[in-house]
Parts: sequence; structure tokens; C-alpha cells
Amino acid sequence: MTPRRKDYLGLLVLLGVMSVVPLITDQPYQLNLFVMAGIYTIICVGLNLLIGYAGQMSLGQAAFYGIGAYTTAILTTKFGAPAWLGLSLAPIITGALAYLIGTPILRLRGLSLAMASFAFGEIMLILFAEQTQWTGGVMGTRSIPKIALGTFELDTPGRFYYLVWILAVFVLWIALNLVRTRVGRVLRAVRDNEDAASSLGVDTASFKVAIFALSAAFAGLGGALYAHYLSFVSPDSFNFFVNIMVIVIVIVGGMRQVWGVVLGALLMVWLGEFLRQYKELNMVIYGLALILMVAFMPGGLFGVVEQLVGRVSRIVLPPSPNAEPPNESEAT
Amino acid sequence: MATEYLLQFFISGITNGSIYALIAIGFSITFSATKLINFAQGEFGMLGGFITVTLLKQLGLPLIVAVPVAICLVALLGGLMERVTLRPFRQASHLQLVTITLGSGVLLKALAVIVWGKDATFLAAFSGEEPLEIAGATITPQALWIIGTALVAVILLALFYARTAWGKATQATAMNPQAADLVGIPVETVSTVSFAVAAGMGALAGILIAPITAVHFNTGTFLGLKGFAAASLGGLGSFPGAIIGGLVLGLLEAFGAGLISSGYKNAIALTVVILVLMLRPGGIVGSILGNVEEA
Repeated sequence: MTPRRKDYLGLLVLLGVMSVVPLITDQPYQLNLFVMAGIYTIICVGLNLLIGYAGQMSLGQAAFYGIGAYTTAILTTKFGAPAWLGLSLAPIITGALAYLIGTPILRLRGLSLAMASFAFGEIMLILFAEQTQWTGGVMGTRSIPKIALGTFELDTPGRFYYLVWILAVFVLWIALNLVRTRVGRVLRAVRDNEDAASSLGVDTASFKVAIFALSAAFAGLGGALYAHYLSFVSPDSFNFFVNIMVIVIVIVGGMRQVWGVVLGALLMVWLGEFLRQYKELNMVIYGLALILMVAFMPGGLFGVVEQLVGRVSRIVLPPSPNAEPPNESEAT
Repeated sequence: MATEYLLQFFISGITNGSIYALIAIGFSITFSATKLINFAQGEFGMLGGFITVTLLKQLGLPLIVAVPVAICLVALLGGLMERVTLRPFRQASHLQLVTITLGSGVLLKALAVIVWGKDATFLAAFSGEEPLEIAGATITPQALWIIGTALVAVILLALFYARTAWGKATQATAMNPQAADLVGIPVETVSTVSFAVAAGMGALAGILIAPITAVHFNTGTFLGLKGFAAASLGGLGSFPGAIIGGLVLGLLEAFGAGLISSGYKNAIALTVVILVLMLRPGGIVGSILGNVEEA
């Protein structure tokens, strides 16, 4: 099976599994967690591309999540824009903003993006809290309208669920396609050896900027969904803890595979709920997870799953003599 | 605006700037030795503050003993962090190692909440609260302590790097680790010691500022952010750059808060950091000296 076929099969399986979930449980409480996992999947897919494929660390992802949320919050509550317009403009505005910041920063090699995005994230948090006339300050913005399809309002977790996961699958589809094209190959080349890539005539900076903007746009989409889902946003939803959480999702799920994000998001949202009363313990786990996963399981949980599946399938189906050799850049 | 006000802003800028400089030096030392940004750097300051308070209140040690003990403990922890979480994984990419330091920072913060709780703790000012008056502006004794101690620490550190064999070995390692290794410098030990010194500097900063801002589990984020900003402003990896970056950042904040708006105090400083990264990636000092070192 070609990698691309595998991707489509995976997307179909995900769609299948996710459409069965509401049939198994109709408790709003559990569906709410699935909605949040879907939102985090959307936010983290871009970050996964950025960390795992382009080798760039962004510490400002929560800020882009917040920009998306506030964009639609402001458009709908201050300008009376319809919810769907806010939802579609949020990723565009967030992505454009990231493009503007990324263009000068990503000419530099190494960790400059980590520094700049960290500073940018903190600035945005201050703006969210201080620009009271637009954002409602620390009290936040209330009564953001629900998304409606005609007269059918997506006002319960059960109804919102489908929208979130359809968009999550769509975002995954974009990311999976992207990594199979020239863009994906260039990004891996940049990650492995940027000098070599640029000496072969690749404009490495513009690829990095493009992927940074895309990752921000996805985070913005996630933020807009969050805003319409809760009808409420406040600076607290985009703080340091959230920033760490999205990085943990990418690292624990597996940064070298787009799919890892789904696994990481489901796991971390559930863990967060499980440890709701013990936020410190949750932070301890985040810290340990970052250290231990990077040190001992750089492929993340998805890497482990993949290895297990590979082992089982080799036992069940002996490899055919003209089988494709394993893709090195994927495996490392 | 009256000159007393400007002088007051200047004093407060230099005071905070000295703290930022100490943490920025920590960032620069570890960056020079390992080319890594240690995202746990700010937490060393938080730990320094908490440990000092514990030593004073629980063990009843005098300040003059508690401060050095706390600094040594945190330095030990910094060295340990390098040995346990970074050195065994040297073959990993920079991105991975930086992620590990991010994890260490989160872990230290979480452990601090578990050990010391979520409430802020206060450390009494080192020698009273009676402010002194200079040309119409006031300066607290603690501010004098901060500026004086930072100055002494910087001079001692500069002498250490310029005069001792160990300091020269560290400089050699920063310039070219392979070459340093070839001439017999224990490069790995150098990086452990660098982490320890950086952690000690962070702890010192955290202790000095504790009487002014109180110690809180989140103190580390604030200290780390400011130190990081100062280091990139001055030019990451540069010792004079860290000092200049710290002072410039402190002054920018103080004048920004006084003349523009206190709510945007942090935003002003951070915006300058982004602008410096965009326009002068080597930082202020890096640009002047022409030895732009990319982070």
C-alpha cells in the first residue's frame, strides 16, 4: 500500500471511529471532552508540522489560538458579523499575522523563532488583558454567538462535535498531503541540514515562514471554534499552561508523524479531566512527559504504535520479495 | 516632567535591570557552553527565593548563611540537571534538548507548588525598609543591595573567566568544543559547571528580588522571560551583552511604565526584543563587535 493510500485509509478510519462515538455515549460531559480533543487536534496539527517537520520550536502557539478566538469574538460581538464569517476570517487573519512576524524572524537559523514567538505570545496575553474595550480585559468577552446551519444551532456538545471533527479531519488531510509533496521533503531537509538544503538552491526561509503561517492559521481556526463553542473567551484560556499543553500533545503523540497529534490530544484532554483537582500533578506529568518522551521515545506514542503494528503485520503477512524499502526519513 | 521623576525611573530601571542582567548571564553562560537555551533558567531564581525563605524560617539560619547555602543548593541542582537530563542525550537534536529543558522548567515549577504551595512567600528586606534620598528621588536599601551585589557578582565572574585556568577552558570550549577537547579540556565537565554557575546566578537574582516582588511558584516564568529578553537584547552568548541587555531592558521598562503606561510595561520591553531579533539578530553587543552568533 502506498503511503498516500495509507493516509486516506487512516482518515476514513478516523472519520468512522469519530462518527460512532456519539452513538456510544450521548452524555454531554464526555462529548465535551471529545470536542476539546478535536479543537486541540486542530491547534496542534500545525505545531506538529513546525516542530516535527521543519524543526522549529514555537512557544507562541497559545497566542495564535487566542488571536483566532478573539478575532471571531470581536467580529461577532462588536461588529455583528455572522458566526460563520468570524470562523472563516479567524484563521486567515491569524495566519497573515504569523506570516508578517515570521518573515524577518525565520531568515535566522536555529532557535530564534522560539525566542521571538515566546515574546510575541506574552505580548498578546498582555494585549488580551489590557485592550478592555475590544477584549473585555481579564473578565473576557461573553455571549459570542453560536454557529448555526440555517436554524439549526450548534449549541450542545453533541451538535458541535461533528463540526469540530469534520474540520479536524480536513486539517489533517491538508497536513498529510503537504508532507507527501515537495513542501514536506523540503521541510525535512531543512530540519536535517538547513545549510545543505539551501546550498541546493532551496529558499529554506520561505518554506519555514509558510509552515509557520499555516500552523498559526490552524491554531486560529481552533481558537475560533473554541470561542463559538463556549461563547466566552478570556486571557486565561491562552496562558502558559496551554502553551505547554500543546507542545506536550505534539511531543507525546509523536512529532514525526501528523497522526500522533490525534493520539496526543485525546490523551492529554482526558488526562487533564482526570487530574482536574490536581493541576500541580498534571504539570508534573507534563514536565516528566517532555523530558522522558524526548529522551527515550522521540517518536512519541504514535511511533510505538507504528512499530507494534509493523511487527504484528510482519508476522501475519510475511513481506513480499519486491516490497518497498522502508522510508528512511519517516523512520528516523 | 520633573527631573526627580526621571531620576526615580532611572533608579528603578537600574535596579530591575541588575536582576535581569544576572539571569541573562545565566542564559549566556549555558548558551556559550552548550549552544542551548535553558528554558528552566528562570525557575532557578524561584527556587533560590523559596529555599532562602525556608532556610530562614524553618531552620532559623541567619541571612548571611542562608543565602550562600541556597545559591549552592540551586547551583548543584543546575549541574545535576545537565548531568541527568542533557548529557546522556547529547546525540539528540538541539530542538529536542531545548524541549527537555522546557520540561525541566515545568517540572520544577510543579514541584515548587507541591512543596511550597500556591501562596506567595515574603522575604524581609536585607537591611530595613528606610528609603534613602538622592537628589529628590528615593532609593530603598534593598535596591542598593541588588545593584551592589549584582556588580560584585559580575566582577567576580568576569575575573573568573578572564584570569583562572578554568575560566579560560570555558571560553575555549565556547569558541570551539572539538578543539578544546583535543587540547585536553574536559569539555563535558565544563558544560556541567556552566549549568551550575548559571543556576547559581539565577538563584542569586531570585533571592535579591524576593523582598521586592515576593516569591511565588510563577516567579520563575517572569524571571526567565525577562532574563531571556535581556540576553537576546544584548546578544545571546555574550557576557557584556547580557549585562548591557539587562540594564537596557530594565531602563526601557521603567521609562516605558512611567512615561507611557504601566499596564504595557512588559509589552514595551518584549516588543523591543522582537524588533532586535528582526533587525539586529546578534543583539546590541553582537552587532557592535560584529561577531553575530546565531542562536
